[in-house]
Amino acid sequence: MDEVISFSYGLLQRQINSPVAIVLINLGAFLLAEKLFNRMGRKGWLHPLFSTSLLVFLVIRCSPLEPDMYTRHSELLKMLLAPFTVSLAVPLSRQLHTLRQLAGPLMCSLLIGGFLAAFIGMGMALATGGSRDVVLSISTKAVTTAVALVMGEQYGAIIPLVAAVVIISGVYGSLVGPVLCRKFGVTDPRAIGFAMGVNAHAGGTARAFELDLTMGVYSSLGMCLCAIYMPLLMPWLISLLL
Amino acid sequence: MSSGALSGIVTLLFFTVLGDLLSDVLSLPVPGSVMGLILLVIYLQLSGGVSESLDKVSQFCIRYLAVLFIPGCVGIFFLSDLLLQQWLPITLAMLVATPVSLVLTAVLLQWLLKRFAGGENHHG
Repeated sequence: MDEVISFSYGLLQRQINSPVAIVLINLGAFLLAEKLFNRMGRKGWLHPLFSTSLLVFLVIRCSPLEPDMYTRHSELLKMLLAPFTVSLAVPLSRQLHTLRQLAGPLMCSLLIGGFLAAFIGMGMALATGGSRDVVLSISTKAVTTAVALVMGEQYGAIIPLVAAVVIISGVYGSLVGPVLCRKFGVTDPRAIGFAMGVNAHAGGTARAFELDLTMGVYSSLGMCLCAIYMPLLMPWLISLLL
Repeated sequence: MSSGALSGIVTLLFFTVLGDLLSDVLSLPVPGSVMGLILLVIYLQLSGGVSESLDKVSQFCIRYLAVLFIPGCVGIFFLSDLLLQQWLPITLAMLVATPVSLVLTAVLLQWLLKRFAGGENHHG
């Protein structure tokens, strides 16, 4: 009996560390998480990425899957990040006419809003004793995850923290953003949408589309523009603050 | 994805590589993927439309973009020491700074839009 167990444990150990098995674990966990998310009524705090990460972490903890092997074979997904980011050009190109009509107000709020998003976040972290690499990981909080990860790597930030900060900011911002905006007298869906896109990127855009079509369009515009603007601003802001 | 997906995939890969190349040659602070995005927008504006294949592929990519973030997110569970030490700056930056700058941006844009529309009426 013991032999059977040790044999099957060895088999599992060999097979679960293979690249394909790891892709299966990633995608399978995401599929389950999405099913759960839909079944529970698409609540923001149950973002599929959170439950997926927890599930994958549990698999790593409770099976012979080694964290190093997991990281190494997940490179495949990381490689796809760049072409998937480029695909955002398609919706952006469709909305470019909106930008042309309202170029002045939109560009102005992008320049100031994007700066504020990074500056307030980094400033608060610095003021409460954030270390250099933590503040660097916070610097990309207003950029959609795909671009934030690449920026984080350039600046030497802590990559998992970059991902977590971006995603949690996005989900939280999209939950409280619309309510707070109305409380402070903002009723224009264009203004709420754009602010959501700049500060809460993908999470904000998904939520904005649920609330109002115009809000969604402006949110995705804000998100895409921020992905272009922040990499230009950030080296300067980092040298200013750190 | 249908059989027509290939040309969309090739377009995306082409602009990704082109963006990386440009970012590398000019040593820009902007990541190659963002340069690729800008180049593709310019191309789409000049060529006057999105092909059906590219449209399908990009819809697929945007729909499943989140899957690519899984490895990054899993890493957070291995950072518990850091999180225990630095929970305050991290939490403040995420949960306080985000709503503050979000509302400020929205207030600013609403004000600008009103002024902009008002200025236009004035001229008209």
